[in-house]
Amino acid sequence: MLPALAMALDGRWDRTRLRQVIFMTDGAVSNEQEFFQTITDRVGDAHLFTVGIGSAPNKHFMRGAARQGRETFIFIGAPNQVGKRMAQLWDKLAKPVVTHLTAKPLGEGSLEIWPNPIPDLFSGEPVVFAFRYGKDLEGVKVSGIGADGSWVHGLNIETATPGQGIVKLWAREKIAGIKSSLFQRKTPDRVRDGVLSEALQFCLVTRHTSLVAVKKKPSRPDNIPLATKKMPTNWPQGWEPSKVFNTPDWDGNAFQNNLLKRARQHYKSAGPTLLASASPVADSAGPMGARNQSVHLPQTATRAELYLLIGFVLLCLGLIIWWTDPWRGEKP
Amino acid sequence: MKHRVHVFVLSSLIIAGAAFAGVGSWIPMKAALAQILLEKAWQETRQGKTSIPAKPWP
Repeated sequence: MLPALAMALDGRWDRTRLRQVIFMTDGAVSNEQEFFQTITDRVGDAHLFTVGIGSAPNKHFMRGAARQGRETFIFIGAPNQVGKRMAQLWDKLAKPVVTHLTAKPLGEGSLEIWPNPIPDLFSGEPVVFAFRYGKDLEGVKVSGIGADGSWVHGLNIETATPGQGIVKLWAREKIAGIKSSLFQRKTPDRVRDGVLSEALQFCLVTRHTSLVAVKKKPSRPDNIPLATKKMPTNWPQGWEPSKVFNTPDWDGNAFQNNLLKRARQHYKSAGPTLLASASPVADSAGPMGARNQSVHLPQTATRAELYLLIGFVLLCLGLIIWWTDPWRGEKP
Repeated sequence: MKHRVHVFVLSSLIIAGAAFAGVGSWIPMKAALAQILLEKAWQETRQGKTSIPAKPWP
């Protein structure tokens, strides 16, 4: 694919014609670095549309190539998308209104425009560019080549409406420009430095920077101590409080409410200290139903000690009888 | 005759006593043996004598 692309892009600038190149593939592009280099070197004033068909095309490459070629990437993933997406492409191809847009400062003052170069104006789509200017600038002269020859428009800085976020737009476009300069034989480190300085100055999220939120007012003031209290816990599965406390008319809700009420009272009177255990077993002055009442839990231990004792007693008895032998002298 | 009664009472006393003692000591004996086996297995694992690697407590 590389020779075809090199042939289509010869790097010339032609003021009288608009060169539109369509790069369409359904195959994978593997040597993308080489492709990017070729496009950057030879794109000239051409407009490079990229069309990817199916799942195989390298979308990263296609999108980047279209950006380098001042145009957009059109992706066709399924047969039913062909009509719609190709109609978009034909619209763009057929209706360039103003090309070769440039902006020059009027009066004294510097001007830094991003995106650079300014994209072409197509029917139905606005061209947006942001610029940073020195304080002596009076206006900007935007010129381009339209259908009827040269087109010039002057913008007066005095009449411009102040707006928020324009600086971010400018910085974002500048960062995009710096990133695409990666293919103009700039080292990744220099690109990173450039992106970093702009992103930090204008508070933008990039692949090298991120935003960190710091809450200035703490949720809990430092002078208020932490409170600890016990929460009523759920019963183990299969347990029934009415059986544990041996009270058939057990009211779980009342028990819980009582527990919470007591906890609140305790909290108010004692302050934020560790609450006494609110569990029904350990609380001797416990809530209703649990007062001075032992909990009947199933006993699961073996009666080993009792059996051992019985066995020991029986064995001792047998041995005593053996030794004393009360039937002595009655041998047959 | 009395001698037979004598032997019968004596043997049933000793058998019953041994049975009770056996039942009573069965679980504690098993528990004691389990501790010894556990300790042995753990030492073997620590010395790398087993092919199965020791897993941490879940």
